[in-house]
Amino acid sequence: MTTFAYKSTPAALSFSASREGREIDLHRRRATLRLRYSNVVGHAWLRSDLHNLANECADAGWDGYDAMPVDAGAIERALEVLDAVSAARNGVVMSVGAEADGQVTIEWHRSASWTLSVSVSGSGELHYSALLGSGKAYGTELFDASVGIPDTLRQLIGRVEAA
Amino acid sequence: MQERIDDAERLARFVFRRDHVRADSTVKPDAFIPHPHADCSVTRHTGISELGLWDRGEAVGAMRNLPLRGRADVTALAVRGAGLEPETAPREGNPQHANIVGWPAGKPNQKHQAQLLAKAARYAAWPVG
Repeated sequence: MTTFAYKSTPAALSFSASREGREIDLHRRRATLRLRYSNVVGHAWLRSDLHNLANECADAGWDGYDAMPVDAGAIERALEVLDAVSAARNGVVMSVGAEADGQVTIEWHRSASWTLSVSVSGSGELHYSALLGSGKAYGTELFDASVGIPDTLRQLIGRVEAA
Repeated sequence: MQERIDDAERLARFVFRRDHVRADSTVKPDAFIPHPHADCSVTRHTGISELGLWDRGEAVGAMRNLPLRGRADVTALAVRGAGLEPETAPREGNPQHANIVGWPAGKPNQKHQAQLLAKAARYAAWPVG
């Protein structure tokens, strides 16, 4: 049997006529997803996601309800926060998102009970909430790019990674 | 007197953003932040079929020209467990509409409540999208 396996980029659909080709395509997609979420490439995917958010959430109501447009300053601050943090470790997955008040979120997620979400405002406020097993922590810190991540958040990231 | 939503009843928060759901199909708290209102809009499962529920979600998205991604289902018990309260708020075109009310002041507190809701939620992807 002749196998047709077209080369494809991760974002493109690939078409393979053979079972072996389809298995190769599936393996390639899974490997791409593992790389993306392994943070090996130094937040490149997260930066790309932030730029996509800036475009896709530029109009009010982007969430289907009454969300405010994502704040451009929040995008810039979030990029600075990414510059200040290391790649997540020990299976923790980082992701970014947007909230209805226009702020941008950065999340460190291990499991339903071990997760940290940080909302970044355009003025540099970092509103955070963490589920830490049976514990919790939430509050606000100020971000100064020249100083780096506040100790409170650095410790919370460490706790989620160590869980 | 307003009807009390039973603890066992499920409430649907329609999702229109991919980044409100993680790769493992769990829901992020971003989907439940109530701004700019003081409440979070949901649709009750009671009195409506599965197909009818999806129709409501599509109708919400159609108003904003947004594709429906799925819905985050959470029980009224879980809402109360998070320190919030589900209240009936029927609307024209959606008699099953309800609001999750009782949100605390302050963003960190709201994030905490949203995290509790997201933790309890079960995501159902829109089967057609």
